[in-house]
Amino acid sequence: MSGATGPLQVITRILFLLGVVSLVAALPQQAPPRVTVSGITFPADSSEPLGFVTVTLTSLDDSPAANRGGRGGPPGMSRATSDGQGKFSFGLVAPGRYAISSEREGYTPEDHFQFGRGQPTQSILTVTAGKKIEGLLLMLNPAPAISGTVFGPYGQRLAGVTVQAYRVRYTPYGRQLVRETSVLSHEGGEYRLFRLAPGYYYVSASFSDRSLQPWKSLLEISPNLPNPDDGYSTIFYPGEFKASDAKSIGLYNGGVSMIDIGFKESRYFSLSVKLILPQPHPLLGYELRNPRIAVLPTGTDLGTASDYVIRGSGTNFSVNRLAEGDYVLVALADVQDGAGNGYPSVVSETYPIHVSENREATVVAMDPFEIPGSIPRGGIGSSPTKTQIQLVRIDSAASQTIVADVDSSGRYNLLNVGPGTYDVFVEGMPRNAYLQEARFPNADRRLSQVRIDAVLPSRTWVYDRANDLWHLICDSPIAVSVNPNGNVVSGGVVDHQGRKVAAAKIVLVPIDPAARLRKDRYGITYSDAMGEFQVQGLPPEAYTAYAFEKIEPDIYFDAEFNSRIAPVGRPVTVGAAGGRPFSSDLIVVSKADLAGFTQ
Amino acid sequence: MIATLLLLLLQVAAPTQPALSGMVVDARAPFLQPLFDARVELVSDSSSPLTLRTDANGRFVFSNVRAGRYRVSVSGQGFLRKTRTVTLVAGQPRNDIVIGLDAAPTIYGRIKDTNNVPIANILVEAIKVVYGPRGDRSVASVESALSDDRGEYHLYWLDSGDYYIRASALMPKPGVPVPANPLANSFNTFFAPTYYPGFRDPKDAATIHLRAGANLSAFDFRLQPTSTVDLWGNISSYGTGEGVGTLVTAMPAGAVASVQKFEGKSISPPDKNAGDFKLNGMFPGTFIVSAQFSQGSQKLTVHRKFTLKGTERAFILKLSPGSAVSGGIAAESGAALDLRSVRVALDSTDPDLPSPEIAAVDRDGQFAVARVEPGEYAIRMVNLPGEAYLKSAKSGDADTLSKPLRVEYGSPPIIRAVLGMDGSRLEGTVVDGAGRAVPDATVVLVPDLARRDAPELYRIETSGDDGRFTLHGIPPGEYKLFAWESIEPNAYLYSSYLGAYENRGTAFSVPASSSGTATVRVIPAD
Repeated sequence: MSGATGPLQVITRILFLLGVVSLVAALPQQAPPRVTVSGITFPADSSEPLGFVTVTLTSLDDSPAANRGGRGGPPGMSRATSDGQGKFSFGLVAPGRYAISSEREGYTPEDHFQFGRGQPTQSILTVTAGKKIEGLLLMLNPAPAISGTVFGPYGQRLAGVTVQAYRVRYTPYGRQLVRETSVLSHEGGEYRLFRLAPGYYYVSASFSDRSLQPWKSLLEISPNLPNPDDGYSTIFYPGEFKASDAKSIGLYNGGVSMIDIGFKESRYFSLSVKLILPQPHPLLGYELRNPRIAVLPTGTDLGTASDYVIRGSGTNFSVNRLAEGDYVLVALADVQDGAGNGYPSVVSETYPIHVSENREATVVAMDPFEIPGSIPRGGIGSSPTKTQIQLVRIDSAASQTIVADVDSSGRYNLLNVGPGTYDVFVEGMPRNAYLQEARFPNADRRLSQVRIDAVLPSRTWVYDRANDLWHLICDSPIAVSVNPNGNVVSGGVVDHQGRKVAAAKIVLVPIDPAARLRKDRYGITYSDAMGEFQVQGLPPEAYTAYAFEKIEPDIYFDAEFNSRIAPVGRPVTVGAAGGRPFSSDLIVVSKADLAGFTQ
Repeated sequence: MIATLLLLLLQVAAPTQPALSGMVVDARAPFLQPLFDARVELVSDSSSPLTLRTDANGRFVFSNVRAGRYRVSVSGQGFLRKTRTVTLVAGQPRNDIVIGLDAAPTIYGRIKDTNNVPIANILVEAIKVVYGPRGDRSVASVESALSDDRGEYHLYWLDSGDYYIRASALMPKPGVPVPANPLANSFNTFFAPTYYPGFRDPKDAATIHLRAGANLSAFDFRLQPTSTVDLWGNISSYGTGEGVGTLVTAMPAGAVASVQKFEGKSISPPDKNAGDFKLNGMFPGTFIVSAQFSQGSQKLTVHRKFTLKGTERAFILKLSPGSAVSGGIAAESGAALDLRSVRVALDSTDPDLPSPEIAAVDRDGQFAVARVEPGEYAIRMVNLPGEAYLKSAKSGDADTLSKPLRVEYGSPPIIRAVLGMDGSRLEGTVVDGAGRAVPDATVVLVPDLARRDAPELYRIETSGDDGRFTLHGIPPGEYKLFAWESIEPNAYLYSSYLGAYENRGTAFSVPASSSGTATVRVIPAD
């Protein structure tokens, strides 16, 4: 540099030097030192390590510059398999927060880890720059299973029987069974239900040409298995025709429950069903594709309706040997999704029937249609939470949920909506928002229900030129109003000795019977490590509040359960003021207390 | 008047006899052990099937059955299915049907990976060797099962025969309805199909010989993870040469379950890559790759058998409407014949590839088989009059009997089929070692060694209820007659198959235009 060193030049030089220094200082920050994460996998029932466990590290941070240490897996995830001595390691793990999960056949997948035996169990692994992690302990519990033999009414062992395990789903409308897994019995009538998490299950057995049908697209059935023909009616362990009389089986870590199931002779009747189809469109000739009738045992999942389709076509369907009992009739038809995949859709109301004599029934089908709409700004969750609108069929006899994603501008399009009465829910809203109202031309405002039948709401055929398709679209959207400012309620939980209780489940059950029918009107949260809790997004209502040490998920939606535990609840009114309406800490309902109320 | 009344009374008074009844027993037991709850089905061509279950004494009774020829098909849990042909004469009830069932064999075992960790939800198949109409060998899956969390699978109650066991990863597909199956949690480790005792190539597979009542030990084997391979290519219309947008499907040869297929949609025009398709994530092996496409009113199809060893990027598929294969049938002697009941079939020599529909023959003996896809075919004619037989069938200069008929993308030269009129008839009975008639045996008249390669010279029949059979339209020459209690269809056409049985057949000459009888000893299933 020529010329005198004036103030400007000095400043420039200092700035330049600072720039160089900061540049030099910045360089290591662009590549934070990656570390090794390693540990051992163990089974819970032995001190010998468990080899060949697949361990997955999933980045919980939003940044896409996730680790690329182990083999395989999509970005943000890497995998490693522990060796014969249970040792695993991930190299080059970028600093950040991770979830760690481990899986091995015969063991329940595990999301927790410890930093050594006896150390507290954690679920989030924080990796800091330059600090390698060693000695992680991943403990896997042996998975439970249900195994046994299926017998006919005369003690014959039966192969080709469909054996299914169901979980209970509690809804404000009653208990429903959700199918978890299903297998076929083999020679000797033996079966094994596996990959079940510990919990309570119901088991059923079905044996008929109809129960074998869904297996045929997956398996080639033994050429020497005699056709079951009408077979036997579905039986629920320990020997009940009705799902509501069935007894649950508790599965614990590592246990194999030996459950034998025997079919019973029962009275059988014939059922003929007349299906009334909607008129084909006069101009388009559009007709329901492959309409058919399904007869399901009451209380099961409408999603399994395809397994219960009966003989017939066009408008006449029948089944010759139906065991005495309660059933649900529904009509199905084939629809196509956007990608061109075909799948069955429910196109009628559900018709509960009781069969104790030969009888007839009529089912009315309707062309399913689309309901486009939008939800207000206040209800749109921030990504990556997915906001969804859900129509949940109000039906104690059969469960069904129709969902549609809500895009970033609040728009959604519900597809293939059939007739029925549905609750409208919006999932994935901002934490303190609640659904105030969801309205349709003919529905109860207070309950936020929509009622769909062949006449209302009105709908129109619209041509989609780009795809050369006709769509049947509802003329009116569901008017959704969201209150983004729900009430926030805080409190504390203690045990009988007055000590604070962490990780207790807090449930606020609304007193108003109409509100009790909606899952989104219940306030649910957990107490933190200090025994304090905060519930958000509550509408102003009167509630009964409970704190449970440990509780089966969703059982508090069950009306019978609620009436039994009412004595230990605390009444509380949540008003616009919010805040701390509890005069004192809630007293936890311990596991022992709960045992006194259930079973 | 009185006579009519008497007649009516007689009809009313006549007791209703059960028309067909009998008993199902366990053939293993030295004495008659009845089987309870066996399923007995009465099948005929003229009426819908009737089904009953046997009672505690193993008995079944069908009442009010019309006279006619029936197949009584019996199955029971744990036993091999058996079919008996029964001819019911009016006024003569049959109460003497006794059917003994043999215990059905089972194959079971455990599938593990190379670290000895069990693998669940592996599709394990019992694969049988099958034969095409000219004896070409292929495989067919006859039963499949899924392994459980211990890796254990059970392929239960298989028919007697020779099998391979093949294990492969199950690929769940959207839209394919399967019962709820815990496939979540699967690690996406990919296992290529492996044949017991652990080989990828079916040529190295061990053959498991199953016989009725076999008590086998476990067949365990290990699978190795492997990388997937891709099949990329282009599909176009043979006629226009233009790429086509359609669904391309690849199914493993011999597989049946739709869940095992791989699919991909090819790019539609007017894109410059029209017709390009990608089937990713496949495993090495032999596949049937197929597609169809409607071009206006024409339906274009393609089926191609292909062995995929590694990723293939230039696989060409050509769709075509198929060609017409026409011809005319005439008697050698020049005599006029009414051939309207004759049917002409072109059977694909490869059992994995499709065959066109059977064609009718008009008054002048002309026929046209429509929509024949490119491939090789064996010509077969049924319902030839009297004892006529197909003596020669030439397409241009090509002899389509000694070699299969090759069809490319256009019609082959017109087929001139000549019927020999000096065929003979052979009646006979199949007996066992004790001289008793054997029903439902497969009777095969095999030409002498010099003419073994001519499938059109073989005659096949199934013996009836009384062990009797009739073979028609036998060309003059030297033959050997065999009867098997059970045999895989067309196995006798496979070059080396007969070697083991050569000395158990009865040799004789068939002169022209003759009629003869024969008694043949059955080769038992063991």
